[in-house]
Amino acid sequence: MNKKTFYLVVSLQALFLVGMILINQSILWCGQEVILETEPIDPYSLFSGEYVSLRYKAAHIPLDKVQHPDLNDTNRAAEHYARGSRVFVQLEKQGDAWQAVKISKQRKDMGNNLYMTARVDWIRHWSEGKKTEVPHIWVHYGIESYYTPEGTARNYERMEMRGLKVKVAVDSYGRSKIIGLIPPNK
Amino acid sequence: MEKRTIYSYIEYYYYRICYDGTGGTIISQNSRIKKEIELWRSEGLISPEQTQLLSSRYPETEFRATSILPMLGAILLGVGIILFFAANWPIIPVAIKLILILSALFTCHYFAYKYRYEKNNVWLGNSLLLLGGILFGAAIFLIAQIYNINAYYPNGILFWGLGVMLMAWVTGERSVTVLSILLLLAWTVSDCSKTHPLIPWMHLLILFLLAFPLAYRVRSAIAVFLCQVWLVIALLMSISSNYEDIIPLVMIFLGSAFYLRGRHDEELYGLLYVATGMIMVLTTMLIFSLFSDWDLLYVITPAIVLLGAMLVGFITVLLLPSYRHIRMEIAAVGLINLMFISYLTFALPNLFIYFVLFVAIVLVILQGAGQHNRFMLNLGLVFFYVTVLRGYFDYASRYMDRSLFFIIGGIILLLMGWWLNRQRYKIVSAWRDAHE
Repeated sequence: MNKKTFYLVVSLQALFLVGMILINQSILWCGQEVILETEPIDPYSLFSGEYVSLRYKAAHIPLDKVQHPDLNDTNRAAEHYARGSRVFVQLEKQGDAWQAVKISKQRKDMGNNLYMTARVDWIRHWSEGKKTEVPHIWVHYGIESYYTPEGTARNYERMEMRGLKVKVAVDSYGRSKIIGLIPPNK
Repeated sequence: MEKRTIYSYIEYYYYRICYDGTGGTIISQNSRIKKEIELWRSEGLISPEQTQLLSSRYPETEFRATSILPMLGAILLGVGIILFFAANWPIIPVAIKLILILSALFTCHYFAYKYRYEKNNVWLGNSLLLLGGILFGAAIFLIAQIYNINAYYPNGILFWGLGVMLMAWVTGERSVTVLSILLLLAWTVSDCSKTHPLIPWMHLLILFLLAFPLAYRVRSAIAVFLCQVWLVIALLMSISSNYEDIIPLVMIFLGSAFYLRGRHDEELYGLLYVATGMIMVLTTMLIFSLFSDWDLLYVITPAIVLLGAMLVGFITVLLLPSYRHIRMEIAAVGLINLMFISYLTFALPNLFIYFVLFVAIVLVILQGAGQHNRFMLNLGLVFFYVTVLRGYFDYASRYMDRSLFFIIGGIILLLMGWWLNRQRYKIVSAWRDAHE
């Protein structure tokens, strides 16, 4: 066994881990802070422990309420914004929190505004138990899990946590990372 | 004297199942052979030099608790470290956690190298390498936790598996190989259950380009077997969410392919492929005897494509000169495939599946007897008993039909037994006459 090769592999593993840290940390260092409204529930991950699963209001996008410059005919929305496809969602500050105002598959449609990269989960003519004229899109931003110390995730499910907000860092490429949770009335 | 780890004992038991009495140096057999050699020497059949030469060929192997415990310890410690970081103890600052895990990763590998390759302490070195592999995963999931990467994170398992596999390629250690294949198998299950790909390209590429060659390189029967399981699971997961009606076709096709691969010049793991293939084909048929209303009409297009592929595959294999020596077996496998496909496609009466199964089982038993292979023989007998039981309690068929089927089947087997015995008697007599 060649010693150099062995340590090269260990160093590559470490380099991968450091790279993973830097990629994630860079968003926190360089990103702009935004606050998103959410609803928490508490599941459990096998390797990373307890976490709060976050459902963002900005992840539910009714096409009649937001701009969609790359799509003229909303009847074609299901094939255009196919499940799993990458989309860019422009956010705008409304009151305390930031809301989705534009969706597109083209990054250039975002201009110089703040936007987040997301993936489409599903698209339906359905919202809050009612059929809708225009389709609604549900996306995920990759920031739907917030890990908590053991035994504390359940606290976020309690009634007084309704209206929980999340402080998020968003960089100029639309990548986002959670900075922290903001309890209601704060 | 060769030192053995717990891993080699697992390998040994695996070999014992598959390679019963067919060769190779098997640990418990070695002590028996040693006694035989001593007996031959005391009877004057062999000289002391020959005794020494033969004894060195079958070394006594160690089996001590000290060689098992570090391996088990490494697994427990690794799992403990993963759980420790998963608890997300707020007292330890994030930076300290990262420094802890990275330094643990380096320290562990430092001692792994030192003990395995410098001090030649195989069991401790291997245990530390295994621990290092687990620590790499602990580090990935700690970073995922710190940066709140989404909990559904199959890529985490993929990177973990690939990192460990790189180490396995470089060191050639079987324990790390098995860990990496298990992790990538877990990745396939995790990823395919969410994405439901029609053809899991990435999974198949990693399996065939990295995992199978690695399993062969480190000469590990368990690793080869895990790769087979991985292939079956990857295909099952992709077709079950897209064309679940062709599952039985894919299973018996793949099983037949494994079987024929095993019979065709497969040097090291021939019997492993043969055994996996036989078990897959017989189990699939047995399970699908429960579905009396199964047919392929719902998915006629993919079924035709697969049937075409099977036909082309069998004809190609039949025509290849290198497969000439097993043409009869290829024809038999093809016939069983054809009969099973007819059963599924034309929704034939339930009793037909027992007919196909009994033909396949009798072929397995005959081959086991012909090759003096106890594993094949036992496998055939187990399936024979299970199929008889299943057929007896099959309420989808009428009592009279089942009765006739078993009576006719029994008579055919009795006649076959009588005929085979007669043939054997004729051959032995001819041989005796020739000698006299």
